[in-house]
Amino acid sequence: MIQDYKNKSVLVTGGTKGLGLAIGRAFAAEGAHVTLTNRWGSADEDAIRADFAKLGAPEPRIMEADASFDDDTVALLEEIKKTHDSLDVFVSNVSFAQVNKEGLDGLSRKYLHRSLEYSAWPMVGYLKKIKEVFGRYPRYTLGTSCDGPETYYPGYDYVAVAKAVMETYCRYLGKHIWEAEGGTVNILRSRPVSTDSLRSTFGEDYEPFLRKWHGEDYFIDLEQVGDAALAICSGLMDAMNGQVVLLDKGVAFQDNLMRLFEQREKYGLEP
Amino acid sequence: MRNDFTNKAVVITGGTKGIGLATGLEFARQGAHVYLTHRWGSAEEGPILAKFEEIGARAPTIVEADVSQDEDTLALLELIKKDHEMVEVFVSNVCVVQPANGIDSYNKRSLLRSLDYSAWPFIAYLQHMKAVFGRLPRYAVGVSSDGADNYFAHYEYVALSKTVMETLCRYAAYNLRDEDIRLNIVRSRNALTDAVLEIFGQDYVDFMGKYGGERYFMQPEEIAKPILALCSGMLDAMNGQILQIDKGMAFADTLSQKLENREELGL
Repeated sequence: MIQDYKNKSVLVTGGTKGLGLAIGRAFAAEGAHVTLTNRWGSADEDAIRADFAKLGAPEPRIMEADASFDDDTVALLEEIKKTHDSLDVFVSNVSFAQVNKEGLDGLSRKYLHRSLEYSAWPMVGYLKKIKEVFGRYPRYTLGTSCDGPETYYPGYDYVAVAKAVMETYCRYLGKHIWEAEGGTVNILRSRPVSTDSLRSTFGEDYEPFLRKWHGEDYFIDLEQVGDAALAICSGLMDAMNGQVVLLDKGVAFQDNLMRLFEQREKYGLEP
Repeated sequence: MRNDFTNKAVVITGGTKGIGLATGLEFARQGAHVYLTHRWGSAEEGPILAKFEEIGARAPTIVEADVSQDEDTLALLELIKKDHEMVEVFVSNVCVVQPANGIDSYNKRSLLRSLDYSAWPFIAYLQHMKAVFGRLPRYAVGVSSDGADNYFAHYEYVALSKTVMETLCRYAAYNLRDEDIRLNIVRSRNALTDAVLEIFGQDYVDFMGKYGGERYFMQPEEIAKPILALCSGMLDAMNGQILQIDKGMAFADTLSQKLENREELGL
C-alpha cells in the first residue's frame, strides 16, 4: 500500500450488503472513514457497526439515499462534508435492475430507463454532485460491474445493458477527469459472488447447480472483491485509467461446453 | 501489501533495463531477492547495483541468460536453488524481435525467432521451474503491449509475440487452475525506455511528446507498480487476465481527439 487511508473519506453506494459492504470493510480496515448508503431500509446497521468495530475500523456512516434522486445525493455529500474536505474514493456499486423472465416480450422501455437510472447513471450523477459539493472529483472512482455485457446470464438483460452503459461512461469519464484533475475511473467486474442479490436475481437453484457442475471456484469470495478494489486504489495502480478489469479466477474463459466435454468423466456426463 | 516478500526469490527476464529493472526495484523495496537476467552483455552492473543501494534494498543477482536457451534457464534456476526452495514470482519481460518493414519483409524465420525470444519463454521458464523446484511460482506476470489491437509502425513481430504470450497465459491459467499460481499479463504502451528509443528513434519521442502530450509516454515505474500489485495478495482472485495500464491513452488516442485540441496542437 502506498496510499494511507487513515481518516480518508470513502463513499460506497449500496454499501450495506454484499459487494458494497465487502469493499467498504476493506477500506475501513485501512483506517478510512467509510460512508455506506442503502435504499431499501434493509440494512442491519447494528450488525455492520459491530463488524467494523471487530475489525478495529472507524465506525462507518450509514445513510439512506436513493441513488436515482439528486436531492438524496446532495444531502449525503453535505453530511460527509461536515467531517471531510474532500471525497477520496467513490465506489459506485448500487445496482437495481429488472430481471427479465419473458424473453423478447419481457423487454420494455420503461424497465430499460429504470435500470439505467439506478444502475448506470448514478456513477455520473454522483460524480457531478461530488464536484459541486467538494469542488473536485475523487482521486479514485471505481464502478462495480460484472461480465454480463459479454456473457449470457439468464434474465440478465437489463443488468447487462446498465453495466455496459456504466462501463462506457467509465472510459469517457476516465479521459475527462484525468485531463482535468489527474483522477482515475475504473471498473471492477466480478463474476458471481454468493450474495442475497444473486439469489433474488437467479433463484435458489442457481448456486447449488453451479457448484455442482463447476466447483467451488465458480464463485468469488467477497473479501477478494474488497481486496481487489483496495488494490486499484492502493497507489500501486495509479497509471490504470478507464479500464474494465475482470476478477474471476479465470473462470469466464473456461465456462463453456468444451470444458464439460473435457471433464465429462469427472462429472459423469455421457457422450 | 498482503504478501511478505522478505527473502523471496523473484525472477525478472530482461531485468537490467526499462520496465524489467523498474519491476526489480519495486520487489526489492519489499525485501525480495531479485534475479535480473540479461542477454546481450550490455548490462553494466555498477549503476544497477547503485540504484538498489539507493533505496536501501538488497542487492540483486544479475545473471546472463538467453531466454531462448534451455541450458541458460536451467543454470539460472540451479543458481537460485542454492538459496531458495522456490521462485515466488516470475516476470516474463524479455522482448527481442525483428523489425518489420512492409509485407515483403515478412518471413517465417523472423516470426519464429521473435516467438522464441518473446512469447515462448513465458511457458518454458514455468516448465523448468516446475522441474527444478518441484513446484511453480505463486505468481507469473507477462509484460505485454497493445500492439495486437493498435497500429504501431514496424511493430508486427512485437504484436505477434505478445498476442501469442497472452493467449498462452489464458490457456495456462486454465490448465494450472488446481495449482497455487496466478498468471496474468500487464499490457502497456509507449514506455519511455531505451528499447523504445532503439525501435522508434528520437524523432518519434519528440513527435509524440509534441502531439500526444506528457500523458502519451509511460514511465517504467508506472508499469512496475501494477506488476507488484498483481503479486501483492490483494488480487489473488485475478487469473488469466490482461490488464491495460496506459492512463486511458489507447482509448483517447484518435484523430477525433486531435481535432478537439487542434488549436492547442497547431494542427
